[in-house]
Amino acid sequence: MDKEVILENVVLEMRRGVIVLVVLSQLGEEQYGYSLIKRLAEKDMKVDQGTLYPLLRRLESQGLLESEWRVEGSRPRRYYRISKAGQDVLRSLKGEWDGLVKSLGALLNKDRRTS
Amino acid sequence: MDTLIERYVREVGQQLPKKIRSDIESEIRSSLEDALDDRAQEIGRAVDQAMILEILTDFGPPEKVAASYLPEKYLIGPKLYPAFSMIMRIVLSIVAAVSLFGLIVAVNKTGPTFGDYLAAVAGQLAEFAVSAVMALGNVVLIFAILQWALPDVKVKVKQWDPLALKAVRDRDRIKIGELLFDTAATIGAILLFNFLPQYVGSFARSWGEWSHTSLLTPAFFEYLPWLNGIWVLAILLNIFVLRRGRWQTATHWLAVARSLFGIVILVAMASGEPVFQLYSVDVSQILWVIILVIGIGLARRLNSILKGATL
Repeated sequence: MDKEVILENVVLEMRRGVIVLVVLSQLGEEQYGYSLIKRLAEKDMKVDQGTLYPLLRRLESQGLLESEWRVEGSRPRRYYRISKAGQDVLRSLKGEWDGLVKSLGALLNKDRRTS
Repeated sequence: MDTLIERYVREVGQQLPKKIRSDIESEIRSSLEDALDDRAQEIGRAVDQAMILEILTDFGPPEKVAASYLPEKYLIGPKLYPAFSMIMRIVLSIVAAVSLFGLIVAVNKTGPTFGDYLAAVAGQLAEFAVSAVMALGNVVLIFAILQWALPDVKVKVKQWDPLALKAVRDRDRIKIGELLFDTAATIGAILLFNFLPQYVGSFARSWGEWSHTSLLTPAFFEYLPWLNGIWVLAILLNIFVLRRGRWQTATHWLAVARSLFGIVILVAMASGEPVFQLYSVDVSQILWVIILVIGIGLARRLNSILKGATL
């Protein structure tokens, strides 16, 4: 397989691995799907609709998000925000993330020194 | 309203379960309209057909969007697959055993010429192919129904003991001594039956005189060209495997074909005119013992090949 394709797939998997953390972290204030996509894109975290919308539904069915339909102007939009259970999970995920960053930092710095 | 957006939303919705359809349709519609407004503002012109096409293309094919909302669908999922694979092997082995038995019966009942035997074998092989496909279809159907009825089946993981693991058996390792002996014995058989057939039989000494009774009947020599063919093939295969140093999938299958070919010839010999006679008594039935031995070897090799292969 082409090296670039392999790299692209690995990067995609890495991003997929953190997507729940990313989404939960941004829903402290309520957002509808498209506004969340834009918000993430502004922070260099491009997520496509095909990934985000099903994920929002899944997180809601798991009780980590809450949602409600509201009509703004002439358009109904579904607004999502993090639930109480979601906040607990987010806290744990942040802890995991910090641990990962620390471990990876140590691993990668060690590799840099030895290579 | 028949707009491209509505067509797209309907196309996605049609592929979703009714329970979640309207909710997802509304969300996709609203998201598409948001994206359009955004793009129009970015470019600085009103929404037009080209813009709609661009946004819909970005969203992706409706079936892909719909699929992203649905759990992955399997005919037989990964949890059931190991059991399916095991049952499949068992069923195919039973079908093969029954077919082999059918082959023996069919050959016993067939006409006297070798052509009749070949026709019986071909018919039985065709029957095996049909039975195997039917068995495969039935097992797949049963497992597909199980998958449909129990989509979240939980396979109980037994507590396991690493010491209970089976010893590793290298199915491709060759036994040099066995192959050399087999080759030498086959060469011996070719020489004996082709050039010294008069020595195959019983020798007895009475009153100081040696007497000899030949074991081979004229019917035996009708089969000799076929036996020579299989012996030469066996020698060539053994030499090839010895040179390679290991069995390979292709050589395993060649050995299977050789055994099958051998069984067919021996069954024909055992069921036709007597090929071995001792003191006017037909002893051709001894061939069934040889057929049984070859059959057991064949079953073991097939088992080893199928276990090594991914079904």
